[in-house]
Amino acid sequence: MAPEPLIEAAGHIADGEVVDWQGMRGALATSEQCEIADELQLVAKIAAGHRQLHALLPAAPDTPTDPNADRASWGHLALLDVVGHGSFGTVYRAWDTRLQRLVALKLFHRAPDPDLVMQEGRMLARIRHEHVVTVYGADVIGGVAGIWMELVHGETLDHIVRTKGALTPPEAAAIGADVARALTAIHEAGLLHCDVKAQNVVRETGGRVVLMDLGAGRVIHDDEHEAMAGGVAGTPCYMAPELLRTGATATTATDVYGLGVLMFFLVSGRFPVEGRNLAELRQAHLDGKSTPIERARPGLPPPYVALVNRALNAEPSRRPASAADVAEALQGIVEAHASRFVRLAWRLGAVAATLLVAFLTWRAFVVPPAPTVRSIAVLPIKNLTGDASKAYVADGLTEILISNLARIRALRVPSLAAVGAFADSTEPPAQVAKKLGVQYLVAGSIIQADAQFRMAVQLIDPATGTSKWGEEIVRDASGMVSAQAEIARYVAERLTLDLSPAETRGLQAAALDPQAQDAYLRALVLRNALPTERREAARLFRLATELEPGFAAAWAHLALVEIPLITESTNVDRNERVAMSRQMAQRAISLDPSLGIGYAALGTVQFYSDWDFANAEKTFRTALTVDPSDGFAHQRFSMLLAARGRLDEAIQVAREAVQIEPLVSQRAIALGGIYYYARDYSRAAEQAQRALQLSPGNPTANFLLGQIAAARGQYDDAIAFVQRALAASDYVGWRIELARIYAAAHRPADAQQTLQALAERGRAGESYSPDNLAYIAAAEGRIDDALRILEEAVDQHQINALWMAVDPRVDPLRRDPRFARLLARSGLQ
Amino acid sequence: MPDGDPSATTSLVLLERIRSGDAIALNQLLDRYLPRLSRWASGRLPAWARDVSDTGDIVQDTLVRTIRNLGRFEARGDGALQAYLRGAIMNRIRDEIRRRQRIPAASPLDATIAADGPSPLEQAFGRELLERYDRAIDRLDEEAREAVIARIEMGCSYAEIAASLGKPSPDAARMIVSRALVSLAEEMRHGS
Repeated sequence: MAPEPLIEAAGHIADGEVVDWQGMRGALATSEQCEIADELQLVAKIAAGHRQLHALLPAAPDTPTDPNADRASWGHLALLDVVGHGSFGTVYRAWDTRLQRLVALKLFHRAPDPDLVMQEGRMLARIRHEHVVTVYGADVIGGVAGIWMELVHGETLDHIVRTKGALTPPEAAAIGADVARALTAIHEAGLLHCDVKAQNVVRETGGRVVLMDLGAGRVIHDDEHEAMAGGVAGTPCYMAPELLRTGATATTATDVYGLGVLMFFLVSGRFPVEGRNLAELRQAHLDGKSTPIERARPGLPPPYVALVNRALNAEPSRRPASAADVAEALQGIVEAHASRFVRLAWRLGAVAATLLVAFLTWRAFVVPPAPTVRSIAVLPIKNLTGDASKAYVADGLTEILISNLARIRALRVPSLAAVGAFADSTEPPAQVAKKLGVQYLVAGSIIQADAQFRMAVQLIDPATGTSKWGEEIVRDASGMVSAQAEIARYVAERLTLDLSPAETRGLQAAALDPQAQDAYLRALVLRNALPTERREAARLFRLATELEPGFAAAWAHLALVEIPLITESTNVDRNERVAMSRQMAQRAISLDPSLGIGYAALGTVQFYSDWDFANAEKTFRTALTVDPSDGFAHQRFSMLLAARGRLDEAIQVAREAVQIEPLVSQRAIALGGIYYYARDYSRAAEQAQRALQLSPGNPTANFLLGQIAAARGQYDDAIAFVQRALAASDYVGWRIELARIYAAAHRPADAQQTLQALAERGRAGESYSPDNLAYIAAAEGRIDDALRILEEAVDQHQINALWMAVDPRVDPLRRDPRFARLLARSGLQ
Repeated sequence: MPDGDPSATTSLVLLERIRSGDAIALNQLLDRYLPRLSRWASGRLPAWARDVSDTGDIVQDTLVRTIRNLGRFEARGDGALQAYLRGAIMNRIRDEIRRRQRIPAASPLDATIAADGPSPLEQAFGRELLERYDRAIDRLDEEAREAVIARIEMGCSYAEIAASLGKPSPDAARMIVSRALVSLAEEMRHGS
């Protein structure tokens, strides 16, 4: 019979609760039982691994909502296991039941002032930096204060140095530069870290360096908490000498000292001043007993020695003035080292495959005087993972790199849609560049090995066919999106573009939650697919924003995919959804005012939902100022001008969109649509045909051809084109237009049958914009009905009714004075 | 699995109907086990086969074949069937790994990526520990084995386990699971 403590522990494992292994072992009588306890602890780990699988993957339909509802929890966080103990409290791996993700939760031993914890939580949550652990929230629950944050996987620098030995100076400088940047972000937020040490810096498997344990951070100059700040926070050997004096307070200079000790430790495995306790340490400082770094590790580069010595100066005012200064100095050391090495050649995607080039890292070049660059195209990033299902990652990253480069106002960057045609092209770079009308090309590829992605990227000068810069970037999956901002910065640097402070800020991206990043990448690909896939795109963008509330681009895209979905929603929740999409767009702008798509989204809400045409025009103009190469914003603005009957201006803007992105089928379709409104049917058909050449079988282009044929009275052709579109995507909005064409073609039975089928789909939750019924009524000569329905559509701000001023389908109503009154009421004219 | 509801059709009834050629019953049984077993299998499959589609394919294929070939399955309950199906999938995964090892990689790049990558659970705990755990599971008596698999590996609720093991209450099921875990630890100790 197994002893009770073992059974009890097993019960906790079965419940998914945390087991107090130390306490349990104390209650066991024999060594045999202790050995069983050891095995049980392994079973607990395996059980936790399985639980993670249950949590990360979709639940079986017959699974109760929370099979482990009985496990230990703190608020909405379910505790999985203990990952560490500290002087402040215990750190758990926990499951966030609301956002469905793994987090690290730090629970404090003593219950500090709840206001203090909350205040600090708010401050910490404000810091978003690639090298700072992301804090998600803070709370006091049941008298226990806690802070939960990103769960970081990797080894601490302390562990690395102790198990693998001291680092080389360039390695240490590179890591130190990242830690210094992290500290800079913390100091800029008005906080101190107070516990910089090798145990608090983790190197993730992908190489990302993360500064942890912000729980020790304290608000700068907060007199109330001075005692704590100058107190025991900070592991003794890393403590600045001034902190050992009574009544001393921590400052940014004490963090810089800690950084100096870290730099000392990384290259030597030792500390400049050592002592077994605070008293010994204080005495050692008083006696000036310190080990010079040159003795701890002979042969270091002189700049490294000089920097560490300055950071370790006993006099705070003689240390480097800020963590940013340390970062800069360390970066200089890294670059000086890198410039001595020539990187090996490696293969890239199809374009680059023609040239197997050897190249230097960008750091190796003395920056030459370069011509002012105006245009650059990012070729579709190659998916070399060997896994076709990862194509969305490559496509999504291409799009993100494009949008990052497009933030630089001196650059014109064709969109993904424009470069998509070159995905498998084997044409030489010069020809590709000529077709795209650009001066430079960026080519890249990704490969994946387990959790890590390696992305190879190079900047190609098509004139010479050579690589101007190349880099291999290795990241955990979670760092891939933010790495695109880094690449954009490198490219700007190589092209000697001067970035404005706002542009530089725009290109600082924090690493994202991996699940959020994955959802975002998948959604980016889906949103451009068929209308029927918009809901899934919306769901994924929403998931991305829930996991990463600070993700501006995800908010903007979410607003953009939500707006057309509003048409398909019932009136009851319509207003609410409009308000929500407006908030989403505004949120995107406030999070990142330099992001063009945020304005495009807000302009779309003002145009499509609010019918606030004057403000929509202003917002679209801002979008075009922020990102003059945004073909999508051009297109949507042209549709606004068309709706208002300003067809000449509309054609001009839509033509610009086509010039910017000559290979994007949607731009041609939009221009064709405006020609259709202008009754210039031959030019309209020309654009639709061009779109079909760019994108064979494109259903939207076929639909436009159907509308054009119908307007010309060629109903059989019209029906054939619309049916071709429907074969690709059975979108309700197109199906109802088919009913109208049947009605116009005097085929009432077919029209009726189509409407009946739609009514059935309506009962299943799929609905179309009701203004379509007005066009059917108009086709059937029921003018009163048509006007009544159109009036309702105007009152309800139905999207399709926006073009009634120019829509050929409305022509039978135009002579009726009631239509003129309706048009005036709509504000369109 | 029936959620402790005696009126729900048990898997064994479905199995009986499948034997008499009822295709709907086969689908019902798949609906019941496929999601859970797929999640479980995603932890056991090596990197190259870990895609949701691959996992689903391998698991579904194995389930359909196993269920069709069950012939006379003298099981005491749903838990036994679940444990049996898990074993069948485990064998299939091992077969797949062996088969894969015999196929030369298509290219050097393929070789670096596809080279017999560890499964997520192997990656987390090491192959040696997982094998020791699997051997210990196999040595447990039938009821203990079903209890551990249902609770720890499949994430079933205690109510479900009570129903499938024929125990009077969720509390009783919890006790069975707890004791089974201690037995498992004892078996692992012998196997180390």
